[in-house]
Amino acid sequence: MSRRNAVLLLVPGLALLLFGFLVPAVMMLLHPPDTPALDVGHRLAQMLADPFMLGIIWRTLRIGLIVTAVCLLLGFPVAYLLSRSTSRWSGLLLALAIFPLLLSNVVRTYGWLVVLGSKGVIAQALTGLGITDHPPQLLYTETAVVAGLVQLFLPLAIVSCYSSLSGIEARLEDAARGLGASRTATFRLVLLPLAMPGAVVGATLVFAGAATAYTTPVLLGGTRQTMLSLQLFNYSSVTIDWAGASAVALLMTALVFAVAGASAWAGRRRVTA
Amino acid sequence: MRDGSDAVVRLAKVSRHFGDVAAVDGVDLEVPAGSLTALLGPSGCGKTTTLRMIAGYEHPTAGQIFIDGRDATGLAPEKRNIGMVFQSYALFPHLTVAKNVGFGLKVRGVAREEIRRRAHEALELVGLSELSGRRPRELSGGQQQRVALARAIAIRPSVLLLDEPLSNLDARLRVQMRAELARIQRESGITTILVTHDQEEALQLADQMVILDSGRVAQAGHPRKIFPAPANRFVATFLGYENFLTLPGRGLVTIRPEHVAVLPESGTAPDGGQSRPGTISRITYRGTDSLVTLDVEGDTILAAASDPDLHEGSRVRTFFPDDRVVPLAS
Amino acid sequence: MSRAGRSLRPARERRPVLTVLAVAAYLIMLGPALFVVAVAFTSGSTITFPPEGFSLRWFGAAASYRPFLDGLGTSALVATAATVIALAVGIPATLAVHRGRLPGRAVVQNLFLSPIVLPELVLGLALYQQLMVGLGVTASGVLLIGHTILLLPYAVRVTGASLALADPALEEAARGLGAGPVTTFFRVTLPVLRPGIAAAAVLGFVTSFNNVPLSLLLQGPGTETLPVAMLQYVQTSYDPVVAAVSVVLLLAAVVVAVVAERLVGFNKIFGGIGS
Ligand SMILES: Nc1ncnc2c1ncn2[C@@H]1O[C@H](COP(=O)(O)OP(=O)(O)OP(=O)(O)O)[C@@H](O)[C@H]1O
Ligand SMILES: [Mg+2]
Repeated sequence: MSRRNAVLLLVPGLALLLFGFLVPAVMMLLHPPDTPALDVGHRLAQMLADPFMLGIIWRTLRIGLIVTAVCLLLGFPVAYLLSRSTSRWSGLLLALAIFPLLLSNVVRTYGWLVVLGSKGVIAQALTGLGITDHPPQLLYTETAVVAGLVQLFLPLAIVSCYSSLSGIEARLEDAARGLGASRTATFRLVLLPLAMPGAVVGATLVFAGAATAYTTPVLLGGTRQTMLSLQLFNYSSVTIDWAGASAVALLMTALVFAVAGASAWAGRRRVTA
Repeated sequence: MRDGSDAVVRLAKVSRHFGDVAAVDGVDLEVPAGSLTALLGPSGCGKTTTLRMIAGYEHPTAGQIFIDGRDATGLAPEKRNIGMVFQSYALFPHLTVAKNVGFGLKVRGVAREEIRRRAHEALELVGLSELSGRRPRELSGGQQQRVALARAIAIRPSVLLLDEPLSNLDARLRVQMRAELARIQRESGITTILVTHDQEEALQLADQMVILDSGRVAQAGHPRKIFPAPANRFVATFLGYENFLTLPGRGLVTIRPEHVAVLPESGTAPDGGQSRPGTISRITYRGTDSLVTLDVEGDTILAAASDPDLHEGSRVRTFFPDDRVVPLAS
Repeated sequence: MSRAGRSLRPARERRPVLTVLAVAAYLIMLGPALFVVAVAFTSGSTITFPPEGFSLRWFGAAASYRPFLDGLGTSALVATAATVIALAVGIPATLAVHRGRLPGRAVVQNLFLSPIVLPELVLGLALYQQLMVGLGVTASGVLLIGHTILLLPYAVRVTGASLALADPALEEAARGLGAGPVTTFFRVTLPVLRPGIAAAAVLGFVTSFNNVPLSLLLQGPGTETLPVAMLQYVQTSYDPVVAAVSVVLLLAAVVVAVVAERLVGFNKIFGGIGS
């Protein structure tokens, strides 16, 4: 293929990226509609000094980190057991873990309304068993949001950990055990450092998804558990505050990048330690 | 619970079944202190399974395993103090050579200085002390193999287990490492069990040779005892015997080609053996002598001969000296 | 799917902690969906568990609710169009990157993958502000552009993975045998790419069909997708209609999974495993 032909093949894609992605993304920061230039910067500075916004940023970060931690805590064992299983069911179990990715977040989150609703599974179980007559409010809490996001992003955590774990020879664990390492020592000294790259990728993907999710927090958190994503939607579609929306978009993106960078750094340090 | 024998490893009627497959079937085995025992046999005969059971990665479905005189049958691998070298080496890719070798000491809580010293010592023994800062992927196959060996030796194991340690090396390196292995074992004096399917390796290295056939011990003993006197056709075939025939009064026997005499058809038969008429079907020149393929009353017999008068198609008399013929249990 | 070799671990060794955590993971992933199925068949009029009686009334209600029907049409149309365009633009780009001997090809490749790092809501905002409000592009046009941008990284990455596995010598051999570049593309390159294209198409369609953030921000008259219609319904009413729709979508997902398994391998497409 000549270089000229190669460039011609790239033209449609580059044009689409330019017009449908790069230019709008940059212009969104530089010049939102009906806004004086540089207003986004002012709004950003205001937000960083506003306790209400800082609270939202903190909640977004906190929920993202908790969801990431829980997803790794639950996803890693699944990935490990599946990668080490010789059972003919393991393929099906892996498929079951991936299957939820085919369903819309609305469908997946809807299940929690059934589980956590005021007449839902847990509330009915609590009253039915006579434990309490007034089941606690489960919906529209931070816990509900975390549960919904964990469900949403577990498959991602499992898949990332699985691809890295299935590349680790099972013999290495056997070798460690033979040399006198207990199961925990084998996990800490052999498995964890080798699985770290996959876990870091998984953590980054999960955090990026959880910290920017819209559907789940809006359905399970309600208006009291506002996160950056809800705030962005609010500015852009309810109050039509373009500069505010752009500033929140920038904050959200920066948060994701900062955590991705931090986890890559932490992962590398852990491996070379 | 001590078993009262001075063997470092003792297997008592050990079996391991996988579903219907008896991978190991009632194996009795004693490995004396300081010896090198070779487990050999064709692919799938249960060598690796036996080794894994000694290491604790696999548990017997029947029988008992004693290590250092204590019943170790249900013990976890990390409680056995064994040094295993895997066929794929299983070096930790994220650790340097020195850290790989020191791994077993680290998990035993040995002090840092002591780990350094003993890792260095083990690496000296295998001749790799100058590579201690490298990662496994920066080493050649032979070097990786020696690191694996050093790692197993560094913990001063009760017994060193080697699963086909040389099979991943090319032919020249294999011969070189074989000598190296013999030296290291002699110098360290560690009781060693070596799995191989290469009879030459076993003959050269072992104090005790254990030949397995479908999970059972076909014959065990010193190579010098076994090689001239294989117990049955399976062992004889495995050791490279190719001539099998039935002689009156002796039953099924085997004999090495250089011990078969090829005589003129007309001459008188010598004493002290049996002679049979045969036809030469092929002669393959080998330099110092020729390998003669004969048809002896339906049996194919190989003989080594240097007589230039032999021709393909000639009718001859084959002679099997009594003291060279090895009777086999059929 | 690679497997790290047969484990030597003794069969009797159990891992109670790992097993409990793994079971919890599956319960969280799949449990809520099971309750949704139960609730969809209730004859009561609220989301209540256990369901009150059995009926199909909510399926009937869902089938006669216009926004869902319109949304289904919009979603299917947008997902199909976006997938086709993303592949039509992405495959040539993949070829250029992998076979074009371009300087800085890593940069070009990363450029095509870059939309994936931007949160979807942020992409949606950028397009809404700049294209719809700023330039006055129609809602359906921007929706299509947004979804195509969303799928482009998948199209490039998945087809690129299967092209990277293919031997360039195949194409050189075809050229050597007298086939022109166009014939070579259709007779050699495209068949080699077929599994990758199938995987990218299924993945793309599902991703676009299910998307909420873009579709939500870019909705205009006549461009409300099914997930957005469902989201808005759930936010305003508490009856189980959406449970019935969910069951239908669940069945559709099972069909997609089975088709994907036949085409290329389900775990390969959606898990990105072994690709
Ligand atoms: N985990 C297992 N599950 C089922 N069958 C097994 C298992 N491990 C070993 N076997 C079977 O047991 C028999 C002995 O296997 P083993 O690996 O011990 O043979 P080997 O002598 O080491 O062979 P090789 O020379 O090929 O390495 C074989 O038939 C093998 O298929
Ligand atoms: Mg073996």
